[in-house]
Amino acid sequence: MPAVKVTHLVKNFRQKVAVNDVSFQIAQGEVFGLLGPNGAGKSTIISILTTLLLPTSGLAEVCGYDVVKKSRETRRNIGLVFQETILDEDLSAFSNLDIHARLYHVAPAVSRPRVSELLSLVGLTGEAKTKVSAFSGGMKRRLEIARGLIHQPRVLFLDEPTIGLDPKTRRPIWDYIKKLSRETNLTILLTTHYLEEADYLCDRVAVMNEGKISVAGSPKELKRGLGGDLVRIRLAAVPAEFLSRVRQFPFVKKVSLKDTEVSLVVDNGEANGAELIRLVHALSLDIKSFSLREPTLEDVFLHYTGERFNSYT
Amino acid sequence: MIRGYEIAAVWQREMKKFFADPGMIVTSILVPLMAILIIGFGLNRFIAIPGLQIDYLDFFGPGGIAVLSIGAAIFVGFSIIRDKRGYIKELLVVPISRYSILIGKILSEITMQLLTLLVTVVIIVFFFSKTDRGAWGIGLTVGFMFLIVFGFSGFGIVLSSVFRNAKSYNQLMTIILIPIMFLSGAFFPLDGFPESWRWVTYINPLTYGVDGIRWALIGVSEFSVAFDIAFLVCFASAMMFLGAFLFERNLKK
Repeated sequence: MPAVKVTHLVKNFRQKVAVNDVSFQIAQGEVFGLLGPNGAGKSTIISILTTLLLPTSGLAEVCGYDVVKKSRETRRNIGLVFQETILDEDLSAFSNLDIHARLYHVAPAVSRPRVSELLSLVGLTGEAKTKVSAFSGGMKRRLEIARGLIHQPRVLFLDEPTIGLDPKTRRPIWDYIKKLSRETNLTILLTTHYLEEADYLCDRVAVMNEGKISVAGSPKELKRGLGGDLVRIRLAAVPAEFLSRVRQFPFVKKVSLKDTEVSLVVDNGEANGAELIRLVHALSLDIKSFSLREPTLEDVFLHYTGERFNSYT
Repeated sequence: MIRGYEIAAVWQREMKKFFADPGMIVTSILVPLMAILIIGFGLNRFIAIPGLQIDYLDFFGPGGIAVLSIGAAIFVGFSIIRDKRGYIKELLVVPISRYSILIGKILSEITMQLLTLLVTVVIIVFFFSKTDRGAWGIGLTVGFMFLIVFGFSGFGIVLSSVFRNAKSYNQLMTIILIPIMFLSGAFFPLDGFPESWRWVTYINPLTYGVDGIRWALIGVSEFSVAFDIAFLVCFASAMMFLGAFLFERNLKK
């Protein structure tokens, strides 16, 4: 049974179509990212999956429960960290988590040790008694993640988990999320428009644009889907024979030459890059530099959200 | 389905927030107490109530308690508005009934109001020259306070579901509260009003709270106590049902 299953989901707001016939599945234990520009429909999907909004049509299931008909069961199995910070600032970190545990009817004998465990997971053990108003943005986020986990949900939703945080604060949060997915069998659905974030955290991502999923797959697949890796070779001089031999390789997709620099789009650049170097040696050419770059998720994002894809030439 | 632990958890959150702010507790006891005592003592020497052989302080004390009780109206609505864009979302993804959220909030507000009011009432009763009604009089007073707090909390919820932000809520609440407070018989007897104005005092629910508490503490009343209770019970039930209905409707969207 997939942890999340969305089938032909549609959500209309008055005149606007926010989610337009979206289908996807998330396997248990997977970290799944919804990418897209603002207004693409990511948060709407999260709101529907977390029972805060009713879909116009289509089916959404979490842990096998229909989110509309079995909203209570759904809610019991999910944790949610909102895009905006929602904490009781006048209470301590411990109280924030404790109240949450009570709302889920977790007995104090069970919740107390779990609260300390979670505080240590997000690196806030020393701050248990501190009022949240004294916390930095990153600490608040980490506390919210801990709160989302207190009732041991099977699916955790993170809506823009690092929005508004500086890059230095963002990194530890990524590491906590990564640790979490590694150490537990938790399924995580996150939305983001930071592409490095999706690339670093997600097993699979779906790029959304104007309410539809343009493309989905692992970050690696998506990047590969754009054509291949970029190889640049600079030689002292480029003989015609080198170019024609290079074009004969089946893994070479595209060749272009600028001065003495040869740019290539290559399948599986790591293995085949070696092949290219071997050719340079076989022809006894004087190699000045060699570089290999994978396309980034940003290239994928720009390609599928309508902006012109900057090819490597 | 509404479960006890759900209400208890919502209630506990509010109480924790209340006790986390000792300054607020002191303020909420001191400010109304000072207002009542200063008005009461200040006017005591200058005002005699026609037809009644009692001091103004005795007359005003019960009215003051009733007026204090409607403070709940402001606070319940305000706490709902304050949470509207924030914590309420957090509560909505928790597997509890939406009515538990509402009931928990109202009960916590009533608890806080009653806690601070009780301190005030004890002090006011201490200043009474004529507190010969004993424990049952104070018990009945607390009962009336409870009804007023309940009814006006409902009123606050109704208003809070009409407004999105705290500012316009506060503005309207102030405009509504002034006539409710001053046209209730708390500060001066109802027959001080011209006949053509009287109807305002008759539809004002606080009038019956003032009247009931005055009877409970000093044995003077305009209406029968049974009528006071009946009117307040109807008002409280109507406001609670309307409030719950609007609250639930607002969440659905």
